[in-house]
This record gives sequence, structure tokens and C-alpha cells, in this order.
Amino acid sequence: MDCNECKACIDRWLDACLSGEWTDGPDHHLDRRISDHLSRCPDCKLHLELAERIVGTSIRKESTSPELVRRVSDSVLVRIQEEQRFSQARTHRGSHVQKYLVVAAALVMITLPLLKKGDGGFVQGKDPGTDLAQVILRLDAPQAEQVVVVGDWNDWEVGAQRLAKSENDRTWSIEMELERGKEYRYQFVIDGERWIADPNAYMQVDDGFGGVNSLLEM
Amino acid sequence: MDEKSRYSQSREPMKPGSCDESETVRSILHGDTESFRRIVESYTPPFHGLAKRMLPDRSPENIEDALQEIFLLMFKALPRYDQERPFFTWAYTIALNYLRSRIRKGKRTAKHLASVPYDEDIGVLQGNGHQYQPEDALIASEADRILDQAIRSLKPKYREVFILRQLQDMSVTDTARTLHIPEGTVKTLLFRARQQLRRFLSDRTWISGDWES
Repeated sequence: MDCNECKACIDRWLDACLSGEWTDGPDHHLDRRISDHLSRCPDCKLHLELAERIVGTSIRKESTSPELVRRVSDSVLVRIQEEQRFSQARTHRGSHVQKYLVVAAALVMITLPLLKKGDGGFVQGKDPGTDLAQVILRLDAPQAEQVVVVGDWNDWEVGAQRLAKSENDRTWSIEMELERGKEYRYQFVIDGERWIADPNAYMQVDDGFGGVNSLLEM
Repeated sequence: MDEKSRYSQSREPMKPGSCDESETVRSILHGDTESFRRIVESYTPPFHGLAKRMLPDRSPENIEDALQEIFLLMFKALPRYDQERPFFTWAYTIALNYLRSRIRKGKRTAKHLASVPYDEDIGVLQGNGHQYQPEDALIASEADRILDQAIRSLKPKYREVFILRQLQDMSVTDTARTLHIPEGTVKTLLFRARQQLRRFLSDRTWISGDWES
């Protein structure tokens, strides 16, 4: 038996499997002449191995080294702990800022009635007791057919959140609620293929690929 | 917690999709960050295979970096995880979404990035107690390389189904849940993926012995 004959036989077995006519491994299907040829020909053995992998009967499985598993888990845990420390430190700083804001707000409340009589023009914000805050993102993209926002809050899933086009046909916007006290990275995707950072974001950070992500700090 | 006790706690590997998972997730959500190590340890092998098959840059550094980012994203997304649904498919969805976005961003910023062969696992094979000869290991690594090339020639939707269903041994139901498509579509896509791989195999010109050098 030559290589062409052997490969043709393997291909017939492969076709039978793909059409559902054969469900076992090739061992029972291949006759002795083929087995003899395979024992001498690494090229045909490779052909058989590929056929088995396409069908899914290969017993070989890839393994991941335990060192890699340990390295990844160590690095992830260290980064989580670092982010938690950073977040706690920021919350601590934030509580100081909050105290100053409360004092400032109290001063305004006390002094406003003294300065101006009549309607106060007070705008009711989001209930400060809630964990969510309202965010509006806007992008000036008159030529765009579609704009979506992808970010940490939607697992960067394209199509999850589309922006709506304004009446002036220039600006796209979306209103969302995000959790307070968190930091989110995001980008806009224009017409499903052009990824851009938000030009109006107050901060841009390296995305690790030579580009930038916009940053939202809630 | 010292180094020894930290590892002894997670010495028993947890199988992705096992019952222990829900308990572990509850612990993490109650503030036991260290329990997340068990999730990372149990999902690193399958996600490693996934990243290796999907990412254009297969250098060990890039794969490892992608794995870290997947798990960080997963940790941050945990409070939004619906505990009524299987954690296993949720975790895979996070990984797939991240890898897709990384591919897109990679295309945008590094279109001409050369693919670096990933060789960490070449020759590291296991198979139901079967002892492989050096030639078998060589054939397996070459088959891996060729199959990888073939898989990369598939359309993304075929590729993802083939990787999950065939290479990651995921059930049709779990593949459907992970990709948010009907089970019938999984079967159709898998059938077409196999047919295309079959054509790849027949179109390939075999020059005996050229891969052995």
C-alpha cells in the first residue's frame, strides 16, 4: 500500500464520520495493510491524527503547565489586592472631600436665603443614598451610521449599548446608570469597526495595545 | 496567610462547572477574595487553550497577559453574575467577549504583528495513560500546528463553535448558552466547520518528510 491509497482510506473514514455514518474511532475501520503502512509512514500517521482531531476522536489532550497556572493565579490575586487597596485609599480620600462638600453645601443653604428671596431654583439630583449614578455620554459623529459604547460595565460587548442620534443629526448620546465608587474604561465603536476613545473624557489611559481607553471615575 | 497554607487550601483542583463553584462564588461575593484563586486555577487551563486558538499573537507573554485580564474582568463582573444561571457558561462568555475585543483592538493597533509560535506546550501531552514515543509527540505537535492554521482560516463563528464544542469538550447546550445561539445553530455551525476543515485537509499538499526537519 502506498501513501495515496492510505490517505484515501483515511479520508473515506473521515467522510463517513462527518456524514454520521461512522461513530467509532478509525481502528476498527482500518485494515491490517493500512496499519502496517502507518507503522512505517509518519506522514500518513500525521494525516490520520489530523482526521481524528477534526472528528474529535483523538485521545490526545493539551495540558497547561502547573507553573503557568500558579503564575497566572498569583498575578491576578496580587492585582486584585492592589486595586482593592487603591480603591479603599480613594474612598478614604473621597470621604474627606465629601465632608468639605457637606460643609460647603450647608454654607450655601444657610447663606442663599439671606442673599436671595423667592424661588431657590434648586435642582434635585440623584438620591445620594443610591449606589447608582447617572451618566450621559456624548459623541459628535455626524457621518456615523451607528455608534455603540463598549466598556468594563458591559464586558466590552459590541452591540450591547447603542447611542441615539440627536435631532440635529450630529451628536450621539446615551444615558446610563453606573455604580458609584468604581472606575470604568470604555471606548466608542463607530459603524461596527472604528474604535475610538471619547474625545470629551476627562482622562485617557493606555489600553496596552498602543491606543487609549477613556476613563470614567464614578 | 503564609505561602504554604495558601496553596494547601487550593491544592484540590476544582473542575470547571462543578458544584463547588457556586459555593466558591458565594464566598468571593462575601469578601473572601482569596477564594478567587480556585476559580483562576480551575479556568486557566481551558482559557489558555481558548486564548491560544483565538489570539493572533500567540507569544506566551501575550497569552498570559490576556489570561490575567480575563480573570480581572471576571472578578470585577462577579457582583453582576446571576447565581441562578450556570457560572461555567457565564465565565466562558466573559472570556470570549474579552478575547474578541482584544482581537479587534489588536487588529486596529498592530495589523502587521507577526505571529510568534507558541511552543510552551509542544511535546507536553497527556492521554489516558498512553505512553507516547518521541515520534508520536512530534506528530502530535505538528498536527497541532496544522490544525491551528486550519482553524484560523475558519470564519469566527465557525471557529468559536469548533473550539468550544470540539477542543474544549463543551456540550452542545453549554456551547449554545455561552455563545447565545440556539442549540440547532451550534450543530449546524459545527458541521460546517468540520466540512471546511476536511477541505483544508484535502487541499493541503503533503510533502513527505518536510515537517520532520
